[in-house]
Amino acid sequence: MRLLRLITVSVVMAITIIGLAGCAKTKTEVSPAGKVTKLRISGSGTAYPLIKILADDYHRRNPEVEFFFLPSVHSKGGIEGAANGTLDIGMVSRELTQKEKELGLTYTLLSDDGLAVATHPDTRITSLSKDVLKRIYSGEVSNWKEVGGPDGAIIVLDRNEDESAKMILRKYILGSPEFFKTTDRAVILYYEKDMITSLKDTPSSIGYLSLGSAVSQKLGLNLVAVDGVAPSVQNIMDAKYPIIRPLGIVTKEKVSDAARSFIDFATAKEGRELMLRNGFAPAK
Amino acid sequence: MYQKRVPLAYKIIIPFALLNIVVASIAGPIARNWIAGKIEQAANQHMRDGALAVQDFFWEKEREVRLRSQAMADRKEVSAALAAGDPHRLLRELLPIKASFSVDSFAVADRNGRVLEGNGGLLNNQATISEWSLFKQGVVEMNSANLVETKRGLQLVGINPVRSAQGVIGVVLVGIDVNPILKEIKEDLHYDLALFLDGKLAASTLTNEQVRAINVDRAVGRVADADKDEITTTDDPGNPQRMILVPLKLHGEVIGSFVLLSSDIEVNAAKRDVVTNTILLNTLVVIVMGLIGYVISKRLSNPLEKVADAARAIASGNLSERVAVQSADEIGDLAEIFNKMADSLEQRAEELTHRINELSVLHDVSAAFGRTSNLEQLMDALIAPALELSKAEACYIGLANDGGIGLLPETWRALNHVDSEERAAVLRDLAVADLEKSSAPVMHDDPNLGHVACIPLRLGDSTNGIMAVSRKNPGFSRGEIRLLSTLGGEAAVAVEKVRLFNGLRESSVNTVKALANAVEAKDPYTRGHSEQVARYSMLLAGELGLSELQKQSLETAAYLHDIGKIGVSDDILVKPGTLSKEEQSAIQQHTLVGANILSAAPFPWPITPVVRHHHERYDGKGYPAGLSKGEIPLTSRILAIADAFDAMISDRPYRRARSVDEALAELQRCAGTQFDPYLIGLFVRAVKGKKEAVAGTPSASVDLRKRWVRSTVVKIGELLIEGYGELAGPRVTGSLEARLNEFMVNAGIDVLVAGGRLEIGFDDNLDFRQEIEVFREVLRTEVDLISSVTGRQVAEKLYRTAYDSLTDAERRVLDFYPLVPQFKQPTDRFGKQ
Repeated sequence: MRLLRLITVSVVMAITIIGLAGCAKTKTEVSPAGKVTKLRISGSGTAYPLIKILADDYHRRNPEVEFFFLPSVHSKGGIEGAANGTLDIGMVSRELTQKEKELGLTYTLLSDDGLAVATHPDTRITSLSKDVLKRIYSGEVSNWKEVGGPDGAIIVLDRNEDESAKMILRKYILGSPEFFKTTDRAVILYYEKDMITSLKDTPSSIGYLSLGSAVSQKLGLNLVAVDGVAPSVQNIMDAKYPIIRPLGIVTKEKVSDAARSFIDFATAKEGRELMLRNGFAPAK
Repeated sequence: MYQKRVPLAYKIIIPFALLNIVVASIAGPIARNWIAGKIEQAANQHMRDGALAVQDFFWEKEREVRLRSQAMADRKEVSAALAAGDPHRLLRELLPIKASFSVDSFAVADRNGRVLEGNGGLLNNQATISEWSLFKQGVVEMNSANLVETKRGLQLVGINPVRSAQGVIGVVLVGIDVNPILKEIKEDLHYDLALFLDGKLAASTLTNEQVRAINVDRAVGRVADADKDEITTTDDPGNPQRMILVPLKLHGEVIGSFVLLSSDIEVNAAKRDVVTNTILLNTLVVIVMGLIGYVISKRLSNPLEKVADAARAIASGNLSERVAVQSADEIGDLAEIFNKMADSLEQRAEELTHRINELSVLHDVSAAFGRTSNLEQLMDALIAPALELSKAEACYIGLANDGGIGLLPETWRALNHVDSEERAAVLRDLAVADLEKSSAPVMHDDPNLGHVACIPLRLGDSTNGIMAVSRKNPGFSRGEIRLLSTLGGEAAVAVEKVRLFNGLRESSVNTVKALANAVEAKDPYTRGHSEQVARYSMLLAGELGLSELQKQSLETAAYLHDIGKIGVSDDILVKPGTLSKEEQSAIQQHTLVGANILSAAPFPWPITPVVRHHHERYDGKGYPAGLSKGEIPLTSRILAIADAFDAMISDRPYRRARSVDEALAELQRCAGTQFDPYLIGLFVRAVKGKKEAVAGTPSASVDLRKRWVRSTVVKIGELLIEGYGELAGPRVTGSLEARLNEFMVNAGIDVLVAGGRLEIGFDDNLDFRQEIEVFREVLRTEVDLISSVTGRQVAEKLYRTAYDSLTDAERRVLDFYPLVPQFKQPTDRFGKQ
């Protein structure tokens, strides 16, 4: 019996050694040590780039927490999802409405993202005044040569009205819809990435987008200064560049430990430094 | 045949290991080749699958781009804007959906192929595409797609007609960049891709260096048949690539080909891994098998070794060694049997040892018996072994004496000396009782002593003695009794032997004494002489340091050396004065005569030659053989000296005695001629050393003479009375005796006559002369008394008759001194009348 045991042990040992030796060459995946926590996030596509950056970094530090970004449902969808529990975290890129505030959610402001105005490089425009911007978007100015650029019809790229970016543009530049009507000739784009590709591909175009996106994705777009103030994180933080939209997240008041920990990280020093590096001005 | 010793372990392991190695060496490469082949096949298959996937992907993309173009073209707004010829409107309509459609570019052209609006670099505005085959298809209502080199680069372009109520008014073109597609495919399938159109490289995921390095053009050139796919590997050894060239079909037409490239580094690495791993595995298996084999064989050989060790120990004498192996198999059986065998051996060895001890004791006892000629020594030699052998606490041995009554001598011994006398007494009583009763061992139980065994010492049918042993516990076994009986038997034989020997020796000695007495009876002068010669011989023998045997032989020879004198006539022996030549020769014969007499007697010592040659002379002038110096036996030489010395210091009928010093001087004078000078020297030294003893010797020879005279006087005196008595009768004789006695008393002479016997109280204080005077007085008185009654003539006649009854020697004594001078007769030289 002792012999049988000895043989069994030896054989098992041998197999183990072989197995380990064989496995040595293959790539091993780092599997999370403990239980994996999944956080479901969705909401504003505008906020997505920032949240993605934060989430990726957080996951790197805490592999047991995984983030699942569901398809974009705009800020509204994010708020609603967080409220009804389908989302752990909702991304929002605007202020909550009164009604939304009554849903019993906790709103955490993460960054004041600048809204940058950009033109196609062939316009050779570097700076525009608010007034000019208004007149471009109203359709009053329809050719670049009218504002110091080359001869070419201005292709106005716009976002849909209920898009936070448009709202911010109205808020700071154009004015409310009752008072300012965007030109019919504006091309309405429904997603920021559409705006980005259009700005790149369409000569003589003008548009507006998240500063953070532009910087973090290294889009190489031609961002123009507004009223002489260039869109930069520093100018935002110095309160010189006023066109900002709040990027934040909403969670149920009774939030899970993983979510709480993530929020703490995002608002702490590491999170803020990360934002800064990526062109997102951390919230004050 | 000499065979090198190979431990069992190796006999198991080595064939095992060799087998493993052989199998591994054969199977290993086979397996490796097979696996490598499989890897190769898998890689090829993967590549083929990849090629198929690429094809599918393309078709998917192509379909997508067609659908997109269709989707765009079908929009009412697009149709309206195109009909209106409003490019901006087109842009407004299509730009938003360009991005959401994930297309990279679009363009709208009219029926004539003139581009109105576009975005993304597909076409320039106002460009004409009327010559495009694609346009030609699209304008005739075909939804189609193709690869087109545009401003942007190579794109997959889809086309769809735009319709209005009037029919086709234009087309929408939608383009997707091909490079991103290739990148996507590469990410998905992990293959590098190169797209060839018209035999030229149109797009690829490779860098320029890689392209140059691979020389894909040349590789492409090798594939003649575009319908078949062939997997080849490139020539670059540093970066081996596997590639497959597959045709790219679109709408059933081959529009180009693409090459999938995969670095073979991983495949080769995989193959190497296989080799390494299999070798590792083999080695590991060999080692593990070796270990297992070793363990197994040790499990076999360890018990065997244990058995071997135990056997070795037993062979070297340690019989109590056993094997402690308990496995339930053949080895266990072996161990068990081995132990049993060892038990048996040990037991037998013990028995043998026991027997040997017994035999050894018996042997020692027998040897001891053989050495003893003394019954007391014999008993002592018997009791200790008896105690030891029987492991008794007390032992008693008694020998039956000739009378058969009681037991003597006896001996006893007890282990514990307390009460040994009492114990012995008890044993003795039992033994005595049994001696009468039985001739076999008898057992008793005594309350104090415990078990008692009485064993008779038997020889033949008789019992010579009895041995009694006692022991509290346990009782005596049959074997012990048997042993004691054997010992008793040996003892009986030894006792008998000792007794016989003692008897024999005694009779031997007595015989010698009797013979000596015979000689001395013949010649009174010789009496005592032999004794003295023996004494002097022993003295010299002592100085020489002779052995016991030589001494015994010398002593006996000394006693008997003159035995030959029996054959010589008395006249010659005691004749005073010189002897005639014939008389001398007769005397000299006595040595031979003596030797002859003695030669018949079976003495244990060599007497005969000693006696024969005791008158030889050192210078060879002696008799009978004229031997000289060393030819004469040593003992004879000694005897000669002793004999001559005693003769010189004794009185003889024919001369007076000399003094010791004179005798010694005479001896020394004759040293070298008559006697051995060396022996003379020793003898003189010895005698001078024992002067006192020797000084007594003259008195001894005087004693001899005295004895002769005394006995002669007594004899003649008695004969006279006897003669008188015959004549005169008893009553008259009695009165004669009375008157004699009266006279003696008055004269103060210690002589008593009674009943015809003459008793002379010899006074050793008187010297010889004085004694002679006394005797003369006594005999004269006797004769005178007789004469007073019978007259002188009758008295003389009585004397003569008595005289004639004497022996020659006695007559010579009478005449020599003379003792009865009144009747002395003149004699001639020979003493004859």
